[in-house]
Amino acid sequence: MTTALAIDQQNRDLLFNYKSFGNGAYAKKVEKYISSEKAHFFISVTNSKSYQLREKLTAAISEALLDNWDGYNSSRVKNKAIKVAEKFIDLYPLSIPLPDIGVEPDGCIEFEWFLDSSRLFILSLDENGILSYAGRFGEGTKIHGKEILLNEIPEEIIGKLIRLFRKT
Amino acid sequence: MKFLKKLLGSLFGYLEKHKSFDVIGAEENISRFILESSKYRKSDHTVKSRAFLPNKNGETSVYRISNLTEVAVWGIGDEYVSKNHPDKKPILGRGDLLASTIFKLGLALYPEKTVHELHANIVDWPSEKDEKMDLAIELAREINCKLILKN
Repeated sequence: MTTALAIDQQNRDLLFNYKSFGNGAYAKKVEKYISSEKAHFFISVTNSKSYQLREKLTAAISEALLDNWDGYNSSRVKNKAIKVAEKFIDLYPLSIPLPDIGVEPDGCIEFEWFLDSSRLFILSLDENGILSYAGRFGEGTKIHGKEILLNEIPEEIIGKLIRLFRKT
Repeated sequence: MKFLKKLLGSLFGYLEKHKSFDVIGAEENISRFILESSKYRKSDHTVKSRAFLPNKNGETSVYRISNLTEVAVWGIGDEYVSKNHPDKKPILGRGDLLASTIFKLGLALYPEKTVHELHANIVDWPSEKDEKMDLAIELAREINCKLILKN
């Protein structure tokens, strides 16, 4: 018999905190199965885009924890901007390549998708959830504007990223 | 008439004292020193646009490097940029561009000599963040703005 266990992101606590109260062979078998699924889950998470993005975010933040972090009188990274960036990462679509992440001189967090100097898209996340963007989609095509991050990444932003990568 | 002469005399005296006649020409070479690896792309050594975004005072610090030898340019970076960094980070490279590129975008470039005679700031950035980012992309796209690595 094949058993499948499906755990979504919201219910993963159930998996991690699972403890069998039974003593029988079947209970032990279930506990062993759950343990093996925990290992698989960790492997899956560490390979995921979300994990890689969080690692990139952590590296970027660690560089800009104090005012004047770059010697040019820049502001330290804003705590609320970090929360917004984490939310953005949680909502990040798997189909889009990973961006570079950095901190800007005003303490906002920047995501950059770069193909070449005439095809790039830059998104800046501030502490209020405002997504400021600017991009180039080939010679002569330039855009910039603003959106707000609520419960999903704005379609406008996703559309522009799809457009950027469709050109390749 | 006497009053006018006196007024003009005071004005010229003030301008002379503050060296405001030192206008930066469009043909001058300008350099932005880079201290963080996160501000350039290792793949092709191009400078990222965020390297040009202004600080909280609305200024992007640069140096005027026309007629300087390479040794002198790097010397300014070491003595006046690297040593002013809180961690004394070494200079990794620099992005060079013409002053005319800055002016064409509607930005201004003013001498600011507190730190060094050749120090200047790119100012007059727009207030909206997306517009700043748009201009920073243009500065970084400037053909001469390939990162020049320091050794």
